Amino acid sequence: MQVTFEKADSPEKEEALIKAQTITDDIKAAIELLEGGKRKIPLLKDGETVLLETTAFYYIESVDKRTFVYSKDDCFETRLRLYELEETLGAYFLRISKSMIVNLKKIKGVKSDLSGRMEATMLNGEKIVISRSYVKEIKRRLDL
Amino acid sequence: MSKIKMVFLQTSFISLGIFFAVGIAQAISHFAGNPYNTDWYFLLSVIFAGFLCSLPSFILCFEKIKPFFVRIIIHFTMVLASVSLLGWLFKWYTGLVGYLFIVLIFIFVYAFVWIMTKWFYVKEDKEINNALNSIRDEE
Repeated sequence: MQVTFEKADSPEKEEALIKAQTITDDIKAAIELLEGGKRKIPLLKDGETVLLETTAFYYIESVDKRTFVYSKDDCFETRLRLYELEETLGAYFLRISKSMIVNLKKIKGVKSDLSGRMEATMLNGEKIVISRSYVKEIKRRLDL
Repeated sequence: MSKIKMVFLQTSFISLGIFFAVGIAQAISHFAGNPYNTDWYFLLSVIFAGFLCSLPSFILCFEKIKPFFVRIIIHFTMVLASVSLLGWLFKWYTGLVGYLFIVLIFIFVYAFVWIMTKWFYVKEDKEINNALNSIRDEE
């Protein structure tokens, strides 16, 4: 299959078009890979494994070498390390401190105080702190 | 914001604020019929003062000192002490009246720097929030 790559100006303009006679397993896998955000990741909740779509992730936090995934109103644990998740999650997930990754799509708004600390309010009302040193990367990811 | 960028911004704002305040003072003095000339090293001393006064900014990053208001007071005191020392070294003032004038300019510059810093953060927040609006999930 011939593959063409065109550079997009921004994440919103990113799209993939696959032209084929039939949907093969390889194409299904490619679609799954490209739809990264809709991928499900096994997480632990009360000792049981549950599959959760990455689009439901609000933020991921590392505490005492354990990694926790927070959704709208729940918390899960994962065996994956923060850097491993950072590599596999989509473009809207990015590091905001040494111990935290956030899903940009779940941020309601950000506000800085005079001390230079930036606080993000999530869609569920939770507030998390964004380290100043990561603001530049957020702006780059948002094409600012 | 990295520490170096913070120092650079503070140095720029402080120097600009001093130049602005002294410029106004010079203009008033000129039109009042009292020409006010500065020494050859004045401009450099202002930039040096800007740099030195930006260093106490690190106190603002000490999260352990709470509330933030206390950090501002410590910062204000340290910067005022630096300005007083520099003013004495570079002969920016002579006598109590001259010193009080410098303190007045300092308060103006201090407020100016915080207003500029706030403006910078508000502008940055607005840019980020506008960009987030276009990608935010519906909940």
